[in-house]
Amino acid sequence: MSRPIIEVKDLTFRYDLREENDTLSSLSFTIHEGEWIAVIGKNGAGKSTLAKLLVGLLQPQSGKIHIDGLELNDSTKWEIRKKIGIVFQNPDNQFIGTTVQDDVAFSLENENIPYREMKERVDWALKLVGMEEFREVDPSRLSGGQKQRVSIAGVLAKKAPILILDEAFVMLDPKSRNELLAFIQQLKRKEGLTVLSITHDMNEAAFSDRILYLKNGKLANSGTPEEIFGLEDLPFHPPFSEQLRRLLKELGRKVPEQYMSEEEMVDWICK
Amino acid sequence: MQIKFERVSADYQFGPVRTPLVLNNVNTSIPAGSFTAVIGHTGAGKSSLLKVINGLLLPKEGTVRVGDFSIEPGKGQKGLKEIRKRVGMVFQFPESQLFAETVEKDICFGPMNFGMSEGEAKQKARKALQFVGLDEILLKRSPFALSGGQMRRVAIAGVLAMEPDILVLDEPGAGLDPDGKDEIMKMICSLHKEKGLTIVLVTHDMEDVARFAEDVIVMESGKSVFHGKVRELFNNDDLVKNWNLDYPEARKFQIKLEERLGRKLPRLCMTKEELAETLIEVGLV
Repeated sequence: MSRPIIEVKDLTFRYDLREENDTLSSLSFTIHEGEWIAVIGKNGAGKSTLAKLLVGLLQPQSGKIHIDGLELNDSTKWEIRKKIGIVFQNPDNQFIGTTVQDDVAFSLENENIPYREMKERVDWALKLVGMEEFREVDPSRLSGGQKQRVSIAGVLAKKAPILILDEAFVMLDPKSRNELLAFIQQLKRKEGLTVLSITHDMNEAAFSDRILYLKNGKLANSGTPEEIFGLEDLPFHPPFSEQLRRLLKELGRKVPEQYMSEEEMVDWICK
Repeated sequence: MQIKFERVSADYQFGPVRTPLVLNNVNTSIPAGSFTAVIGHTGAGKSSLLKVINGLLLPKEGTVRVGDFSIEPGKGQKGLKEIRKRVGMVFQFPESQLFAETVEKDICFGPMNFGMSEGEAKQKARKALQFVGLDEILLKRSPFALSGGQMRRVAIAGVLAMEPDILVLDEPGAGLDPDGKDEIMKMICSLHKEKGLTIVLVTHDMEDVARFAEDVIVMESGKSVFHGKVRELFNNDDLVKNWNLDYPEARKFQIKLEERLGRKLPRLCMTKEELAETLIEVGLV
């Protein structure tokens, strides 16, 4: 196994001390370089809070976070943020530039990337997300899904070794969503990118190596997609084949007891 | 209330700059009391189509008719208020529009803006909150202390309190967990069934289209390239391929199964219920 890149130990966080429950309580996990981790859970389970803690936008009540060996604190947070690219759910919350290309270039300018390389990276990222025609356009004039593409491009252009996606694809049509996910998977394989994706979309979670399932701020379960998808209690709808299997069972048909993938289900029906 | 687009074209103007057409000669009509889904790629003109319905985007050419009212170029803002009273609009991430100190004030803002008395507005707020499935206790709370799903429901309640005839929604489920999303979709469905509201829903989720919508409009480069029954669309593989659309899960499964079986099932299955029933009927399970 490669080296740990995100280490979270006993992380506890509460927005308001008057509240009864912690938003996150004693959360611990380790993510290795080049892993793709999906974080799942209901609204309010603490997923987005976790993302904000990892980049130091919020301070935990207790617990420690190490990113790439560095302990996250006020003096290291700028160094750590260089290592992480994060895409938030609502792209309107992260636009800065007056044109699409300025916006994508923003983080590169911050890191003093030479002009030529910056231009190359911006071109590359805009092309990837299919927005190169819109480079001169004011981001506020784009549609919701186009904005989401631009904010993804901005983070890809940064080429940070860790990518955090907080429901980053919700406004994309299913085809473009799968294209982008497949591309990120390629980056992961070729360049050892570490991905942490917070999602309600089972298909997105299926891209991961390991799923962390948060429930009321605690780690309720973790495992490979196959292990997690078979659980009865999931924060998203189970895969279609599983839904169909359960429905047929309810209707009094004799079906196998265990989870079947779509192929296995087709095989079983055609037996 | 019927919505009619007559050769509608529109663009956005920013100072002296005009964008290419975001709506290009849209010619179709949405019948009163129908549930219509609007689908298509990002930037195809879905949100723009919604905006011309209540005059947030004015047509450059053509006429939009909403019931007896019309929106035309050169007519200016006249009559828009009447239209906006009847067309309730729920934008993407509507919770970002919340602003008041309490949930009650936030919900009452719209109705009072259209001339309702405070007492009446409060009554409507109560009713609307109940309809979106939230407790009255929340009325006195700050909307910003609520969870994402609750905030979204408050925002929708603010639109319902105006008692519109037409409800226009832009991806109301985006970012919610499946249970939260299901609840919102069921709520929209019951507004349609119980109150007879005309619903126009922009979505990327083909399950929603299959489960809830009756009709579907496919937008592509600012044009309405298909407007018909949902079943008609998903039964036509050429159309789906042509416009690069996705099938609902049940239909996808059906296609895989039919390929393997080497024969067709007797009907198009858009939901798991339909598929299960059909499989039982033909004796495959």
